[in-house]
Amino acid sequence: MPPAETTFLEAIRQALQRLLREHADVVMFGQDIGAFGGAFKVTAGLQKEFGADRVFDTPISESAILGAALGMATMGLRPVVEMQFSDFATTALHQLLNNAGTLHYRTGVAAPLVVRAPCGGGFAGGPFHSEDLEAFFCHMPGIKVVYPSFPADARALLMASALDPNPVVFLENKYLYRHVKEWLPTAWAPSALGAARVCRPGSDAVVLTYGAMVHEAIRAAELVHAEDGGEVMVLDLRTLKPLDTDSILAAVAATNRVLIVHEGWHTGGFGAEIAALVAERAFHLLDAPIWRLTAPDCPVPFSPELEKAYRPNAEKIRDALLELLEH
Amino acid sequence: MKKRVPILMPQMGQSVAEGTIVAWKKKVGDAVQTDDVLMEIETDKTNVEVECAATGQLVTCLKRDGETAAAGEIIGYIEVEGADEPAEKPHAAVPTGDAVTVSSNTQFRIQHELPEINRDRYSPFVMRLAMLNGVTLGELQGIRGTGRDRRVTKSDLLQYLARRPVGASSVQAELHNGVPAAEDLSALGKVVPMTSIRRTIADHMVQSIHTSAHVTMVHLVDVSHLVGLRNRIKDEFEQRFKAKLTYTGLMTFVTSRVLRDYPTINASVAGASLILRKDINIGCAVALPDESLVVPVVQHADQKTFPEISQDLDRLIACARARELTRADVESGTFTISNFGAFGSIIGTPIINQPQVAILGMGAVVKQAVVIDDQIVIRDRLYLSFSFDHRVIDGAMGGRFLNAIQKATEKLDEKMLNLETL
Repeated sequence: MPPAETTFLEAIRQALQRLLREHADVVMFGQDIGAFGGAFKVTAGLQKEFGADRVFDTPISESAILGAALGMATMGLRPVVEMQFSDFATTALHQLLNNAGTLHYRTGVAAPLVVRAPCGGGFAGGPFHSEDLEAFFCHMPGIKVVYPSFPADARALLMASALDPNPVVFLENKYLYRHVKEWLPTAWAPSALGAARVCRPGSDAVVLTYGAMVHEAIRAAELVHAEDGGEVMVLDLRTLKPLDTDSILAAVAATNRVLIVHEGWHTGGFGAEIAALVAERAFHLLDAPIWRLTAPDCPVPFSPELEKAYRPNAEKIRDALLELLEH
Repeated sequence: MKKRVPILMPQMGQSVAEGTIVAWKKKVGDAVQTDDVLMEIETDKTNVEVECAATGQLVTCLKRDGETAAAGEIIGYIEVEGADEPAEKPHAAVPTGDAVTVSSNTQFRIQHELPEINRDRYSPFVMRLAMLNGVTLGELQGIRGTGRDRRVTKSDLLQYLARRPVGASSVQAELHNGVPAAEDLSALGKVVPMTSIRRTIADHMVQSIHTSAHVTMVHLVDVSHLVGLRNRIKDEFEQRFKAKLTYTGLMTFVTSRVLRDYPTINASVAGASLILRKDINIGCAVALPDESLVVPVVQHADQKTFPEISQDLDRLIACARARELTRADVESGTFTISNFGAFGSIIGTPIINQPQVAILGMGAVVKQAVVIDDQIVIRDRLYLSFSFDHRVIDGAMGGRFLNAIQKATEKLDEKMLNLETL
C-alpha cells in the first residue's frame, strides 16, 4: 500500500513531534495547545507524549507568552510557542521588536525561539482571525520570517527554524492546513532558511509569491497556459527574511515580467519590498512595469462574498497575468 | 462637473499605423461641437478631415501641425460638461469622407491612469538589449510593436535581431548621428518635417539597402522598331483602347512574359527562404506631384494583353496622382519597373522594392550612331539598368535574364502586342 498523503497541518505536527523527541531543550506553550491540542489540533497528542513540563497551556496573554519564551531562550532552552492567530501577535509586538529582535545586538546573547503564527483568510474568519501580517514581522530587525506553502517545506523549514539561533516567526497559512496534501519523503531532508523554489517553470513572466497564494498562482499559470499559451514561472519565496534575492533576480532575468502576489494588505505590504528589490537590482531586465496583486487596504471582511472580492485568487491572478503578458 | 475627453488619432484602414496632422482647424480655447471639423490629417494613403466627437472646449493639443501620431494615440483633450455626458471612454476622432473605413476597434484602454504610454517609450530591458546589440533609436522606431499601444516588447526586438541584416547598425547610427541637436536646426534654415509618406519611403529605401546585396547590370537595347511603331499608332491606340501607348507599358509587357522563364527573379525573400511567386504582378514606380513616390501594381501582368496592361497603368497612375489607390493596388507586387528615363536619365541604379529580389530601370530612349553591317546608322536605343539581390541571384542568372529581356524587346512586333489590326 502506498504511503498516505500528508496534510500541511500534519507535516507541522510531525516536525514539532520530532523536535520534542530529538532536542531535549525544546519546549512548547501557548493557548490551549496542551490537553486540547491547539485551536487547529496542530499540537494534538504532544502533551500526552512529552508531558506537561514540555508542552503546556498559558493564560490568554500573547505578550506574556513571548516574554517568557525570550527568557527561556536566554537561559538555554529552545521555546516553540504558538500565537493562536497571528492577528493576536500584535499585542506582543513589543516583546518581539524591542526585546527579542534586539537582544543579540544589545547583549551578544542568542535568542533561539520560534513563534508559530497561524495566519491568513479564505474561510470567513472575519477581521481578527484572518489577517496576514508578514510585512509587520519582516519590518523588525533581528527577526527571521518563514512562510511555507507545501507540507514538505513546512516540516523541513520548521525544523530549521527551531534550530536557528535567532528569533523566527513561522507563519502557517490556515487555509493550507487541510487543503494541501502531498507525499512526504521518509527521509527528512535538511532545509536551510532563505532559499526560494521554482514551483513551475516559465519564460514569459514570473509570479513572485508565498504561502497560500503559491497554489493560487500555480493554478492561474495553468489557466494562462491553457488560454494564451504563455509560460508563467511561479517562484515560492518560502522564507521572507532572509530573502532569496538571487533566485528572485534570476527569475526576473529569465522572464523580464514580474507579478507579485500576496494575501496581505497593499500599502507597505511585503510586495512593495520585492518590487523595490527588483527595481533597484534588475531595472535593466524589465520589459514591463512591476505589478502587485494584493488584498486592498481594508480590514478583512467577514461576509464570505466580500472576502472573496478581497482576497487574491487564481482567477484574479490569471486576469493580471494576461494583461501583463499583453503589455 | 467638467471632464476631459481625450482625442485619439483615428485608425484609418487596417494597414495605416499613423497619421500626420496637416492642420488643426480649431485652436486651444475654442468651443467645439460634435461633428465640427477638428483637424485635417494625412496618412500614407490619403488626406481626411477629422470631426470632433464631443461638445465642449478644446483645451489641449498634444501634437502640433506637421507632427505625426500613432493610430490610437492621444493627440489632445476636449473639456466637456461631464454630468450627462458618457465621457469615461476616450473618443476616437471621426474621419469624414467615404474614402476610408474607420475601424470599430479604436477602443483604447487606459491602465493605471497612464494614457501617455506610447510606442516611443522602451522598457529598460529593450533599451539594454538594443544597446548591447548596437541597435539605434532609429532602428527601434522602425520595429513593429506588439505590446500595448504598439509598444516594442522584448520579443519584438528579439525577432528583429534575428532578421536584422549584418551591418545595419553602423549605417543607421551614421544617419542618426549626423542630425544636429534639435535647437540648432532652425538656425540652419527652414525646418520641414517629413510627411508620413516621405518617412515611409525613407524607411523602405534604407531597409532595402541594408537587406539586399545590390548589383546593377546595364544592357543597351535597340528599340528603333518600337519608336517607329509608337509614333505610327499611338493616337489610334489611345482612341481605340482609351489608354496611352507608353514605353513603360511595353517593358511591363515584355518583362512579364520573360519572367515566366525566370522564377528565381520573380521571387521574394522570407527569412532564410526564397518564395518563387506563382503570380507575376509588376509594380511601376510613379512619381507624384508632391515629390513622393508610389508603386502601384499591374496584377497578373503575364496574363494580360498589351492593351489591357496599358489600361491598367493609366488607371493606376491616375489613381496614384489623385491619391485614390487602394490597398489592393499597391500590394503583392513580385517585380518592379522604374522608368527614370522619363526625366532624361539614361542609366540608373534602382533600389530593390523589398521583399522582391530585382528591379528593372528604364533610361531615356536616345538616338545613337551605331555600326551595323559596317554602316553607321542612326538607331533609337534604350539603356536597361537591372538591379538584383546578389544574395539570391548570381551574375550569370542576372545576365541571362537581362539578355532575354533585350532579345524579347528587340523582337517585339505588332502581332505579339495584339496591335496588328491598327
